[in-house]
Amino acid sequence: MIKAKNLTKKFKDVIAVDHINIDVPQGQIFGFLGPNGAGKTTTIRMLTGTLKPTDGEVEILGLNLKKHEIEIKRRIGVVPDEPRIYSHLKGFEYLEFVMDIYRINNKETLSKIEDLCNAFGVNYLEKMISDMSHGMKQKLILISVLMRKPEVVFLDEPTVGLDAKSAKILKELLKNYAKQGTTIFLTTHILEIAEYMCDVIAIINNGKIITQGTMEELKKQTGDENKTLEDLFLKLTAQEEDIKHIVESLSR
Amino acid sequence: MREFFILLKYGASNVYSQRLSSKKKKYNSFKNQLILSLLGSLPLGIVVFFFTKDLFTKLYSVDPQISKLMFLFWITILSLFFIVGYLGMAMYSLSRNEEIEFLLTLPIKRRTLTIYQIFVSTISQLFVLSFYFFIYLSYMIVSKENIIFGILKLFVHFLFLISFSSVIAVLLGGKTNKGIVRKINVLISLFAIFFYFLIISFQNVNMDQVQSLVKFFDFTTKPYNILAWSFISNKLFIFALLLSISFTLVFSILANKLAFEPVERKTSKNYKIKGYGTVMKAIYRKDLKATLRYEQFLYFVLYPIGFGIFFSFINKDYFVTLFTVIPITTFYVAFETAILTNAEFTNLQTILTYPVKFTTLMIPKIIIPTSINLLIVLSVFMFSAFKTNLSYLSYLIVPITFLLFSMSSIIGMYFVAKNPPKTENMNRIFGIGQTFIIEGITMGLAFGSILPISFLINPQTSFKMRIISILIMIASIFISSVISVFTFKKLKKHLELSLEN
Repeated sequence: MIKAKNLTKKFKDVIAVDHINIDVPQGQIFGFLGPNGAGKTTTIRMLTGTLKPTDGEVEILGLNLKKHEIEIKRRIGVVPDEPRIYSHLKGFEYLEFVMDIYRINNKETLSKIEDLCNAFGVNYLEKMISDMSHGMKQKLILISVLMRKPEVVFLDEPTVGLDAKSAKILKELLKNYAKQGTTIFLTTHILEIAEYMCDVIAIINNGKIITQGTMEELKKQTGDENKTLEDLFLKLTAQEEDIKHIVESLSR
Repeated sequence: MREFFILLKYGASNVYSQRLSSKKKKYNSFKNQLILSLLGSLPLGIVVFFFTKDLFTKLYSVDPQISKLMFLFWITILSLFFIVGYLGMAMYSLSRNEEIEFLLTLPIKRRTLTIYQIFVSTISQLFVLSFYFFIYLSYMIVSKENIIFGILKLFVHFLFLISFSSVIAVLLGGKTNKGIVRKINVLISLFAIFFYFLIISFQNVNMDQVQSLVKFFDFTTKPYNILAWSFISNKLFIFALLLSISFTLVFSILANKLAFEPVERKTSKNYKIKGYGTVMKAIYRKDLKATLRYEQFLYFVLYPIGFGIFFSFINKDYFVTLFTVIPITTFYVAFETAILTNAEFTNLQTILTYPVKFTTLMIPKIIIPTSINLLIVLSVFMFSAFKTNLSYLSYLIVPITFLLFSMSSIIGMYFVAKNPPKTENMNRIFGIGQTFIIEGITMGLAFGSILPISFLINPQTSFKMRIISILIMIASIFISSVISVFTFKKLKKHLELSLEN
C-alpha cells in the first residue's frame, strides 16, 4: 500500500531524509518515530505528494506518486502536524469545502460527519475557524479526513491538542479501521501510543531509518526483552546517556 | 508608571500588529507606530487648519454666530466619529482578547492594564483628534478666544468624551471582536477622509450658500447636544466638567474591578451541511467568502466609489469619476488578490494534500478581485453614461481596465508568493517597498492608459496632443501586457520551486 524506495530529500547542503526504504502492507499500522528534526514530517510530506523528493520513488495503492498524484491524493487522507486551515470559514463550511474538493455528496458521508462529531464532542461547527483552539481545529481536520474513510491514512502527531477521551476514541477507531483494511502511517512522540497501536515501528534519526520491526523484533535487536519502547527508543537514538548528564547537571 | 511604559514599548501591537520584516525581524515599537500615525494625521490637520481658518474668518466677518454654528457642527460630527471609533476599540480592548489573556498572567495591576488599553484606544483615534485640535485652534484664533480658557475647554471636552465613552465601553465590554473593531476603524477613517474633502470643498462655496446651509446646523447649539457642551455655553461647560469628573471617578472604580470578560460572539446553530460535488464551485465559494468577510472589503468598495462621486461633484464632470475610480481600484485588486493568496500560503501543508492542482486553487484569486472591481468600474461607467453622452471612444475603458486589473492581480499574487507575510494583519500584507512598487506600477499605468482617452474625446484637443495621447496610451497598454506576461512567468516558476521546498 505504501512503498518508498531510496527516498531522499536534500535542502541545499542538508540531507533531511537519506535513502530510506519503506514498505507498509494493507491494514497495517506503521509507526514512524524519531527525535525532533529527524526527518519524520519531511518523509510524510514526500509520501503524500506535498513535497518533491530529491531522489527515490514512492508508490501508494500500487500507483506511482509522480504519475498519479491527484488520483492518490483523492484516495488517501492526511492529518498534518499542525491544524492549519482556512480561518475565514466556519467549521461546517470547511467540511462542505472538503466534501466538494473530494467530490463526495452522499447521505452516508453526512451521517458519518454526524457520528464523528458526536464521538469527538464537536458541537461548534457554526464557529469561525479563527475562533477555534488548536484542539478544536485538530478535531475538525480529523473529521474531514475520517468522514471519507480513505484507503490509506497518514497522521502526523494526531493526538496533539486532543483531550483524553478524544485521543482514546481516535486510537481505537484507527485500530478498527486497520482491521477493516485501512493502512495507517503514524508519527508520534508519545511512545505509549506507538507501543499500543502500531504493528510495525520504524525509528528514523538524522534522516536514516536506524531500525524497523515489530515491538518484539525491536526488543530482540536491543537484547533486552523487558524494556519499554521509550527505553529502546532512547537507546537506539543514543539519547539515554545525554539525558542522564543533562538531568544531573540541572539538578545541581 | 514603569509598567505602563513597558506595556507601551512592547505591547500595543495587538490590533495594530505590524508586519515583521522577514529579513530584519525588527520589532515595530509603539513609539514607531505613534510617529507613523502622527506623520499621517498631522499634515492633514495642518491643511484643515488653514482651510477652516480662512472659512471661519469669512463667516465671522459676515456674522460671528454663523461662524460658531459651523464650528459647533464640525465639532459635533467629529465627537460622534471619536465616540464610535473609540467605543469599538475600547470595548474590544477591555474584553478578554489574545493580548489581555497574556497580560493578565504578568504581575501588572488591572488598573495599569485598563489605563494602557484606554490610552491605546485614544491614540487609535489620532486622525480624528488631529482634525479636532486644528479646527478648534483655527476657530479660537478667529474668534479671539482667551487661550487659557480655550485650552481648558478643549481639555474638558476630550476628558468628557474619553471618560463618557470609557464607562460605556466597560459596561458594554466583551461585545465586540477584532473584526468589528477593524470594520469600525475603516468606516471612521473613510468618514474622516470624506470629512476632510468636505472641509476643503467649502472653499468653493459662496457665502450665501454657506449661510443658508448653516441654518440646518442650528440643532448643534441646543443643550441636548452633549457632543459640544464644552463649547456651546459657559453653563454647559461647567456641566461637562462635572460630568467628566463623575465619569472618571466611576471609571476608576470600575477599572480596578474590571474582569476583562471574554468576547461574546453570537453564532447561529442553524446550519445544514451540504456537498455540491464540484471542485471549482467549492474554491470560488470559499474565496468569495474570504473576500466578503475581510474586514476592509467595505473600504475597498466604498472608497473608490465615494472618492469618485465626490470628485465628480466638485468638477461637475461624471467622466472624472472614472479616472479617479480606475487607478484606485487597480491598486486595490493587487491587495485583494494578495489577501486571498496568503490564505493558501498560510495553510499550505494542509492544502497541498487536497486532490487539486495548486494552479487550480490560484485562478479564483485573480478572477474574483478582478470581477468585483470590474463590476465597480462598470457601475460607475454606466452611471456616467446615463448622466452624460459618452463618446464611443470612452468604451475603450472596459477592456483596458480588464487588462490593468489582471496585471495588478498577478503582481499582488507574485509578491505574496515570493515573500508570504508573517502577520495575521492583512493591512500589512505588503512591505513598504512592495507597496510603493505596486502603487507606482498600477496607478501609473492606470493613469497612462485611461487619462489619454479624456484628451481624445475632447473635441478641443489639438492634433499634436491627440498623437501624444495615443502614443502614451499604447505605450501604457504595451507595458501593462509585458509586465503581466513577465510576472506571470516568474510567478509560475516561483510556485513550482516553492512546492519543491
